[in-house]
Amino acid sequence: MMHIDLDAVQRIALPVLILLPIAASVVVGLLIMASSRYPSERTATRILEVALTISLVLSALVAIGATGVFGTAPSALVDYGALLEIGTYRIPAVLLADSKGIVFSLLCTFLTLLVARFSRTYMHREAGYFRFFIVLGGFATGAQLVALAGALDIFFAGWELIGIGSALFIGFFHERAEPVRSSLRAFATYRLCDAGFLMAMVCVHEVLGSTTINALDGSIDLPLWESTTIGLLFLVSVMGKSAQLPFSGWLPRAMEGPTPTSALFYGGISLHAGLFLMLRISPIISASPVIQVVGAVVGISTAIYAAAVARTDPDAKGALAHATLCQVGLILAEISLGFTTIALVHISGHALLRVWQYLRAPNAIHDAHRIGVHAVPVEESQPQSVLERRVYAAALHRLRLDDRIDSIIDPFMVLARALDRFDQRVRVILGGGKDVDS
Amino acid sequence: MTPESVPYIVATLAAGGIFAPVIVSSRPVGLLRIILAAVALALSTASIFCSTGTLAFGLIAVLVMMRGLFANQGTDLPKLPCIVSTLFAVAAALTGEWPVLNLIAAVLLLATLSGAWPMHWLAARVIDRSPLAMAEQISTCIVATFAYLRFVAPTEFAFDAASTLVRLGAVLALLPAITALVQVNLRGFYRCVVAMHGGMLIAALGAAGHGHSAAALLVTVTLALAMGGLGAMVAAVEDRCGRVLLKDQGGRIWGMPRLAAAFLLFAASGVGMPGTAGFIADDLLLHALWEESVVGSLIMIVAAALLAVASLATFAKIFLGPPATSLAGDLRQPERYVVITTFGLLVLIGVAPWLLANPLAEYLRGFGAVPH
Repeated sequence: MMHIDLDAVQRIALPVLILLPIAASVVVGLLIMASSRYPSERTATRILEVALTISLVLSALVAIGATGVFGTAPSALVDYGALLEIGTYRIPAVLLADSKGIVFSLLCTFLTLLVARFSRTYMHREAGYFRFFIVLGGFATGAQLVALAGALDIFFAGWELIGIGSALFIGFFHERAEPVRSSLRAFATYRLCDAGFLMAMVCVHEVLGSTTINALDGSIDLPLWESTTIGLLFLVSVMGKSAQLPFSGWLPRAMEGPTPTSALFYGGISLHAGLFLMLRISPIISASPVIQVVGAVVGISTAIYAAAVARTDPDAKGALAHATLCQVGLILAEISLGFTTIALVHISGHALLRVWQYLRAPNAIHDAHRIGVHAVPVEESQPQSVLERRVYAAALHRLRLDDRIDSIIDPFMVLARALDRFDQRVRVILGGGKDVDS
Repeated sequence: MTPESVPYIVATLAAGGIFAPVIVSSRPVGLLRIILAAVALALSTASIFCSTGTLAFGLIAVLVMMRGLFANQGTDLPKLPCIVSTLFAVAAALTGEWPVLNLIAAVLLLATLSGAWPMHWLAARVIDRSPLAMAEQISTCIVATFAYLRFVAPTEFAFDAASTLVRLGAVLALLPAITALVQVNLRGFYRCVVAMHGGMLIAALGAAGHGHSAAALLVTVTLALAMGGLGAMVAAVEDRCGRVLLKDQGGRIWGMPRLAAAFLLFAASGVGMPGTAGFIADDLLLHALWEESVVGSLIMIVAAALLAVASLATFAKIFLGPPATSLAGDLRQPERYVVITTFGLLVLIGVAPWLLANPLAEYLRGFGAVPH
């Protein structure tokens, strides 16, 4: 029988399955940039779908190989050396195809291909058709980087690609002002919360000497304050990406994007990417009871908030988004309390269900209108007690989260304008009374 | 790549920075302009290969002065920025024996070229007349940073001044990052972005005093490629639409989708988009800064986040929105090739940073720097 070196196969398969989707996007982008005519819709989607299909097949092969069907399972850690190595500083080029990574990778490739296929028809003749598929390819690579990263630097690259993709899709229908505003709010939340990830990553490098995921196992030996600080910084980033309280305000606004991307990002992958980060940093969480408590409190509070809002939201996609958020909060609590295996199963099942629900949402609304909505009589549906009314009102206003965030942003913008005036004065003084902007 | 190839790589990047603005310029390219670009390239290359700091900074002084005297002739570009840069370059060339003065002069030269705060008042004048000229000026930063890393960073005083420069650079980066959020016109935004990167460069120069030379060079290469590219795109937008105010949404993406995409890509790579040189430069710089000053590192992270938000907001205001009625065309063929090449270089360094950083560390070891 022919002997297959599974380690060598996996070594080639992993980077290919990660990079192929973005390579497809680059090809489509170059076709547009270099020629005077746009390629046909068919050509663009074919290129991307072929890349995503190969990515899915390779992901499945890696998963099958890891079960040991072909003999000894290959090593989960695939080391490609260093992306950069200067003195003591090193950006490791390491991928980690362990059970968590493989499950999330399979989930991401399957859902992305499904949504790409669905969108071929859904987005047909839509302005921005090519933009949609180019960004989708970048997002697919980002999701795979998150799933299979063996080092925090690589994980962060994927994390950022998901964030950029999410912002671009929310503002997809940019001829209206509201999607653009929503896109900016989501992106600002991501980027400011990602400062936590960056700080945590630099801290990990300094205290553990490496940013590899496996090095996090050493966090058990860290002083409590160090593991707690690192864990809290990561948690801030997770709260931004997974729309946990108090950063939940951007999620209903994110529904401005095309339905397939709502399905992929907020039903399937993007919201769950934060939870996957929590799974990856579980050694830090288990080293600090403070993180466990804070994570559980944040998750459960978000679940209660989202459950209440989902029951009062008059918009189908908004209600669905909050129903999703409720489960995401519960999964965060599960991971914080150490139930990582249950959490991984919960993530997979939940993502599949929600993608289906989102993709079906337009039809469901259509069906409801066709068949007729059986509304509950008004007197039965109205809140009875004072407490019920208060909860109802608070849920209806989504706790005025956006207003509260704005009350922090507004003074900052006043400061920015004051600084700009100061800057202008400095330019006038140094420039001898002349200023180009005045 | 070998350490011996480093000067050639730097010379190639400088050549690109000198010739790209000539190619994308909407003005007719005369013979004089091509000759001047060739002379500029010769001076840059000589500066990169020469063996003393006096000669290297002296040649940079001639290069900057030549641009001020001849290259901008016939245009209404202000001479003052070139004169000030020339004076700082001359000062850096003549103060090699006095490390304190040498470091101050070299840092001021780079602050002026990169438009860092408060020298941004000079950059503002250049940007106000021609963002493309600013892109050209920024390309000189690569050559000047290389001279700094070879002749200034290995000195004892640079070692002592490292923490101060890092903190100063972080604050100088934060200020324009905040003000970028409230700019009312495109040139104001570009000035803030350039100034923020200038602050990053100052911080990186500080870190280079403790041997983090690769971070400094990657930051300056990102500055030159991303900010040069962004400057070219700002010039391209203004060539087509005149002065752009950031009041309402411009809706220009409908008429110029390629230009919009290129603008977004350069702006994003400047704020550390994964897969580009900016991501690696930010990553490397943050680790270098952390060793010098934790607060400086945190400030830089916040500044980068704010600039990213400002960049997307500006992109939205220029390009997104309902279709605008305009006859302005999309990127011309030469502009497209420059975009593809420049962005290709950003991606190449982003996915294979060892090509530049590893031989550079080895190369600078020969000048007394201890690479980290």
